Amino acid sequence: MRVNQYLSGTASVSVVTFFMVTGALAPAHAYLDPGSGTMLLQAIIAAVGGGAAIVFTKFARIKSYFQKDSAKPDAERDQSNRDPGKH
Amino acid sequence: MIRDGGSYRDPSGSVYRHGDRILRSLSAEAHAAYLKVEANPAVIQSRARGDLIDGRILKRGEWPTGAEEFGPAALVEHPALPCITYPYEWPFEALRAAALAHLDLHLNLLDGGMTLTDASAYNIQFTGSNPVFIDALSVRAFTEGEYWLGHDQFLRQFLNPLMLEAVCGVSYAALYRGDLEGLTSHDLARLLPIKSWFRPSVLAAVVLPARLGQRAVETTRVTAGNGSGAAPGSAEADTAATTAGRARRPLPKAAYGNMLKHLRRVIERLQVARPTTGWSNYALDNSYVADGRQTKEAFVRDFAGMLRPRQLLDVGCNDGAYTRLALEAGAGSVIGLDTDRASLDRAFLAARQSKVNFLPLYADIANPSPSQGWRGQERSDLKSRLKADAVIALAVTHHMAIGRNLPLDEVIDDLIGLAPAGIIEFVPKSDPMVQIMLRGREDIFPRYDLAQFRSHIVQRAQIVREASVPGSERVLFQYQR
Repeated sequence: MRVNQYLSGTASVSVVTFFMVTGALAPAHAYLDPGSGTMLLQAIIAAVGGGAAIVFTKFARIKSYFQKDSAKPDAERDQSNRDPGKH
Repeated sequence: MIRDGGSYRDPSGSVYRHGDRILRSLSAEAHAAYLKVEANPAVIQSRARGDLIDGRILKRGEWPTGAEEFGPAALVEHPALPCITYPYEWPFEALRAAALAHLDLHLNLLDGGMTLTDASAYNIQFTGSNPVFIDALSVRAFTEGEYWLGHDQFLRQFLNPLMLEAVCGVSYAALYRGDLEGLTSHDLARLLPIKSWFRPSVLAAVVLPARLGQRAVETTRVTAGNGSGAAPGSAEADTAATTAGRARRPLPKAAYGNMLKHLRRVIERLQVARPTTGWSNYALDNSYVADGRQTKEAFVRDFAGMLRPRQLLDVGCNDGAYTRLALEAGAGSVIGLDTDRASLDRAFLAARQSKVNFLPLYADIANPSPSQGWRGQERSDLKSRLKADAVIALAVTHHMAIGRNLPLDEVIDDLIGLAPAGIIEFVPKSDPMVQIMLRGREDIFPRYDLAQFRSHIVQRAQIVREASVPGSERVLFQYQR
């Protein structure tokens, strides 16, 4: 998987980022374990300036545009198929 | 004042019950923060919409006796909800509604410069079928650049269970009830078929967090083994993390919001791949029910109109057809119990649409959710939470007595124990439904008949009236104990 290859190349960065993130919790709400995977994911999103979230969003929309989906009662999706120019 | 068994995580305050009242203690620090939260326009708006629970700071004179012992700086009173329920009891559509409500509240709060401390599904409760966020102390000021600390919890408690049921067609209820924290991304990724990994939603919301989590654990182990001397979770590691924390890269607020919106879209679009079950069309195409339907409907309507119960319990509610009648006739609110997930989803969506005060729950009356969690008290058992004034159990007893081999007297005892008044339907062995149940098995129920049934009721309550259901040998009993 590409993301993994990317990460193994930058494993040390990942570890540092992980500790940076998990260590940055304000004490007032430190009772929640934030979970390592999601913190790393957010560190990556932060590293690319929020671009990743947008990429996922766009990719999902492009995919749903090309998907011939038979089970599609969703009016919103119908609209996105009819009017792809909006995306 | 008794502290709620599940209210121990947040050191800044706890929830207490005092009779029917719900009170929240606040530390001095939490009190100061709460005053600011209360005045925030986004919080005011969320409260006005009913998305966030109301709360009123009590004056000293209003404190119940003994409150000082707990040493709070302030006490907040919240409106008491009719019935506390847990995510493992919510049907798919209810968990979906709760997840969307959580994200919507969070997005609204972000607009107002606020955020949520965690993402526990237990912080959502339902009034009727409307989700409401109940943990007032989870709302706090947003710090520019901060990460979403509840992300992992949100995935475990909302997205992952929903994804499991949508993609695999397997109910999350048993897994969720087994592990109160929900389902980890790691476990879900292993359960999902590999081909589903190619769906962008699965890849982004399940596989990626799972792989990154695994990567983080592995690299932490390697770092610890390479002579850095800081074992994960050790004081050294904590110090290193705290030191490094000052220099972390901030997460843009727009990216934070986009993560929430992305999850919202993924959850909104989930569709359940569910095999057809025997019960999902039960109410729709059952001809023998159609014959006696009018009698049953009238019986239920008269019962609800006569008693006007504040809280009604519908055992075996299916898609809620009789619940709706009871609500029209005068019942205040209804909790429905059933085990057919397709019917429950239909019932939930219909209740949402028609805005009736009805919450259908996934619950097996022969195996209701137990008291569990920390000290066995974190999440209380279902029966102790169902404080019904009346119960209806239509076409249920034969499933229990014959389908599950439960002793008939205990079945009646259990149902009558649920509420002081109610309707119980007797379904005889001659009934086609019972015949199907007995097909291919020995009839070991020689004492299952109307006379026994009636006598079991009479031993525990008074029969107010009874009616035969035309077109069948079924009998409806209304009892009062």
